[in-house]
Amino acid sequence: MSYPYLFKFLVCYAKDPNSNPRRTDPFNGSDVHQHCLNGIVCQTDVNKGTGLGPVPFLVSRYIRRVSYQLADLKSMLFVLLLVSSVHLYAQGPLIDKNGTARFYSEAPVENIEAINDKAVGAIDLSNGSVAVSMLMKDFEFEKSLMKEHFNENYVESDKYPKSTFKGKILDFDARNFSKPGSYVFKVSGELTIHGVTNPLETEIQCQVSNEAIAVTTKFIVAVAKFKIAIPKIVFYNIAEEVEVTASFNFKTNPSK
Amino acid sequence: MRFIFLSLLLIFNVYFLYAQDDLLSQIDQDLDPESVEVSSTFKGTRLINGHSVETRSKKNLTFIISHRFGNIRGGAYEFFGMDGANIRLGLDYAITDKFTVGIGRNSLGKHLDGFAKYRILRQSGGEKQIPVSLTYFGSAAYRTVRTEPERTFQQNLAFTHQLLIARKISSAISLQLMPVWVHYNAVSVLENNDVFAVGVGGRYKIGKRFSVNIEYYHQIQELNPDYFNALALGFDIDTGGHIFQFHITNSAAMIAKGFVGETTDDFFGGNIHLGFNITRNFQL
Repeated sequence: MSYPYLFKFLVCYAKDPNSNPRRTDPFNGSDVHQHCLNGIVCQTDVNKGTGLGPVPFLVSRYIRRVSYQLADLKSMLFVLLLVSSVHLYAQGPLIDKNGTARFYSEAPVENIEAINDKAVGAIDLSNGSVAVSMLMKDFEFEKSLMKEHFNENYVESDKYPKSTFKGKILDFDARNFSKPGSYVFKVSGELTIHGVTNPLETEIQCQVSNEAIAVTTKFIVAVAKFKIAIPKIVFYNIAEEVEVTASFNFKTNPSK
Repeated sequence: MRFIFLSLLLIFNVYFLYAQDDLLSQIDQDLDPESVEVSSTFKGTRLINGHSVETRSKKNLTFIISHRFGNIRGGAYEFFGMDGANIRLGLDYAITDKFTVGIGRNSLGKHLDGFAKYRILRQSGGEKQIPVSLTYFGSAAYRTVRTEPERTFQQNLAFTHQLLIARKISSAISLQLMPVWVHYNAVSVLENNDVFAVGVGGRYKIGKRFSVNIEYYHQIQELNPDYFNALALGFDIDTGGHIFQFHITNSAAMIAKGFVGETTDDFFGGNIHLGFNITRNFQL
C-alpha cells in the first residue's frame, strides 16, 4: 500500500468507516464527475453516495496535494512516528472514573451501608500497577444525617478529603489481560484513609472480555487502624471492622 | 529542520503524558471537584433560640423538645427555675433538601406556630465560589391563651420574616448574621407593631462533637422600650441521632416573635433561664 493511498484511505475512513476507498476514490477521477452545487464546484461519487460524498473541489485538491507530498521518505518517517505514538497511547493506564466503592458496617442496632459511585480507578497493563482515589464526600448513605456525621465526626473530610490506594499486582503478567476469562490476582499496596496509611494485601477478581476488564475486590478495614475514633456513647452502633467492596470497569476498546 | 522539531515535539509529548511512574498522582488530578459545597455550618437547625441556616435533607423529620426554665433567681425554693418550666414541642419536616416546614406548640402564651424555611444559597468553594449560605425563614405565631377582653383571631397573630446569612470560616468557626422583621397584629397603645432587629451569632467547635454557641438579637425598632435584647450562650453535643443543646438565656420564649420583641428579663441583671433543645431525627 503506497503512502498517498494510505493517507487517502485514512481520510475516507475517518469520514465513513464503512467506505471502500478503492471503489469510491475521488482522486482517481474515473468514477467521479464535477458538478455545481449551490455555486460550489463539487466532486461527487457517481456510483453511489458512499465514501467521501460531495467534497468541495478546492478541498479535494488540497488533500490531493498533501497526499502526494507525503509520499517521500520524510513523510514516511512522520507517519511511522504518528503510528508509534498511537501505539504508546494504547499502552497508557486504563482509567475508570465511575467506579463503585461501598462499605458495610454490621452492628447490633443498625447496619450502615454507603456507596460512592464516583471512585476513580486505574490499572497500568505495562507494569501491573493499580491505583484508586475517591472523595469521602461522595459516599451516599441511606440516611442523610449519617452522611453528615460520617464526614464531620468520623473521617473529617474537610481535613482529609480523599481515600486512596496504590499498589501492584503480584506476579504480574500482561498476557493474562489479553485473553478473555476470569482471573484472580493478589494485589499488595498502601491504603490511605483519614490521612493514615496502612499496608493492604487483597485479592482482585478480573473478568477480562474483548471490550473491558471488570475488576472487583473485597477486604476488611479495621477502623481503629486509621485513627477513626468511635465514641463509647453513640446511638448509631458502629462496627469496629468495616467490609469494603470496590468494582471498576476498564474499557479496553474505548470506541465501543 | 521543522520536521525534526516536530518529531521531537511529538516524542516528548508522548513521553510527558505517559512517563509518570506514579499512577495515583495521575488519577488524583481528575478528582478535584469544580465546586465543593460547604456542609455542617452548624450542627443543628437551631442556633439557640433562633434558627440557623441549616436545613435537613429531603424526607427528614425532626422532633424537637425545647425547654426554658423559670428565672434562675428563684433560687433553691424554685429549684433554680426548674419548677416553672415552659416547653415547646415541635416537628420539622424537610420537603426537599432546601425547603423545610415546621409546626410547634408553646406553653408560654399557649402559642401555636408554623414556619417555612428555604435555603437560597449554600456556601461553596472551588471553582464556583459562593461566600455565604443564605436561608429565608418565615413564620406565623398564633396566641391561644384566653384574655380579658377577648381578642379576635387576627389580633392574636404575629409574623416573622428573617434572613439568615452564615459563613463557615473554618471547620471550627461559623458566624451568622440574621436581620429580622417581626410584625405584631395587635399591640398596646405605646408599642410598635413592627420590630426590626439584627441578630448575630456563631459557634466555635471544640472537638468533633461539641461546640460553643452564642446568639444575640439587637432591636433597632423595639416593641416596648422596657423590654430587653435577647442574649443566649450555649453548647451543642452531637451524639449521632440526637443533638443536645444546653444554654442560658434571658428569654423565656422559643419563637422569634417572643425572643426578638418580648424579652422581659435583663441578662446582665441576673435574670437568666436555663434551657435546652433536644432533637431527634427520623429519615422517612
